[in-house]
Amino acid sequence: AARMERRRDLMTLVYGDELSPEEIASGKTRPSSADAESSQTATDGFFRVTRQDGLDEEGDQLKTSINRKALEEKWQDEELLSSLHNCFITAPVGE
Amino acid sequence: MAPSSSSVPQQRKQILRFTSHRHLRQRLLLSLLSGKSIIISQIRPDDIHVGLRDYEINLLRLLERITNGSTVEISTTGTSFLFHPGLLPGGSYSHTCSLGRSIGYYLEVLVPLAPFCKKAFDISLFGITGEEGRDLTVDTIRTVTLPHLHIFGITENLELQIKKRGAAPLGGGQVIFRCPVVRQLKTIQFIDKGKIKKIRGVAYSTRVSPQFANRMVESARSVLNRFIPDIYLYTDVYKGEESGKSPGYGLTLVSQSTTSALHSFESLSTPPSESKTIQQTPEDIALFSARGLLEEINKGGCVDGKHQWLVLLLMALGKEDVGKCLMGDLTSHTIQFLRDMVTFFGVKFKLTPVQSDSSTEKTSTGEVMVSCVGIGYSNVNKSMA
Repeated sequence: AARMERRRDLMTLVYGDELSPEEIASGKTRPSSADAESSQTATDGFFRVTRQDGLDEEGDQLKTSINRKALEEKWQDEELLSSLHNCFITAPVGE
Repeated sequence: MAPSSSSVPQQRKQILRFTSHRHLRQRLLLSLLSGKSIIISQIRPDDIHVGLRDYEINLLRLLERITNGSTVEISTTGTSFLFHPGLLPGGSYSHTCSLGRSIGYYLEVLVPLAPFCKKAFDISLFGITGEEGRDLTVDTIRTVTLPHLHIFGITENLELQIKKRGAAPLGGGQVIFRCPVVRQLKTIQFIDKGKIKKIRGVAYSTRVSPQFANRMVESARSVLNRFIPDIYLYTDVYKGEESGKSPGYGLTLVSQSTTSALHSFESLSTPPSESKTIQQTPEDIALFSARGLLEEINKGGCVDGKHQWLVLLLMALGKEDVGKCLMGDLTSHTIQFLRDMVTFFGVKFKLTPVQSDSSTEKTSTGEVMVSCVGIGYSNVNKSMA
């Protein structure tokens, strides 16, 4: 089933070396060079895909830089806010 | 899949090689736990400040002090070093951290090492208790990191006391971390994330008006109240001697579910000299923290995103049983950690994406069920030394 197929994909990606951890974490599944360029510039909304060359200061830290404006806009969306209700005990039963 | 049991001396000949300053601490950590020596080269070779930073050298010296028989050989240019890991005797230590990084940078290595010492471990750490952006604050370590150890049965005499707070850049803070010794880790089956029943948090400030903390609490409530009534945000206002040398304030938030799944997010003020933008208001900090928490909750799973690596490590080191855990979106740090664990321990996890409605264009891995067979890591230091 699709689930099986996706499972192998994720493991092959994580334990392979075609994609960088940042690319996998941002949902990329195909290493096709076609969008290699776009993955390099992909900011994916608010997570910055850090450059590979390790020149920058980052590289040994748990937290990634977050675009505050994009986060603010994202969490103004009523639909998203109400969908999050399901994660709480206050969620109306049966929703 | 379980590799041969790694008795330390025999491993010395096998030296693993890595490059760049990236993921430096997890390689030191995995080296110490596996007993395998490492060489890390090409550390910032063409940066204006070539080689290891002072806070990295400070960490290497700390690791030398809390182990028996570790040797560190740093090249003259500081762009590479050889590390032979020693044993972990435990005992009491005191260490002044470099001001280049906060205390969390050091605790993120000490917390996963401490349970594997021969004797109980405690250390007093001096420095910056929290800094925006890179490392966990001492508040997150106390309220999120240590509870993640509870899942594996590490509970009694496990604590982090915040004696003095110290904001960036001048620090002046102090914490005491205590950890018991663990014979063997519990195998976990943490697959039900439950429903979030409460939110706790700490609004702290040093050398600024105490009103800042209250303003942060109110702003955070304005975002979170609609989800759950049970929100309690402590205000922790330090003045005088225990407030360190720099003004600063921040808010750490933690959500807990009916099955004790934790998610957390935090934000702090950036020191005026560093940040080009005007220093944020308490409201900015609190709104960002609250929205960040919603973001973390939205990623799902039973484990906080910044602690996936710790749970994966302790699952791999557990008894030779099948451990399972539901995780939210895997972070890039987690994925690199999974790769490094294969290098050091030969342990591979089964990763099963949870079928979510993949109609929307994927911007993350989605929730993933992880499972593995523990390598039956017995506390080498306890039996050997």
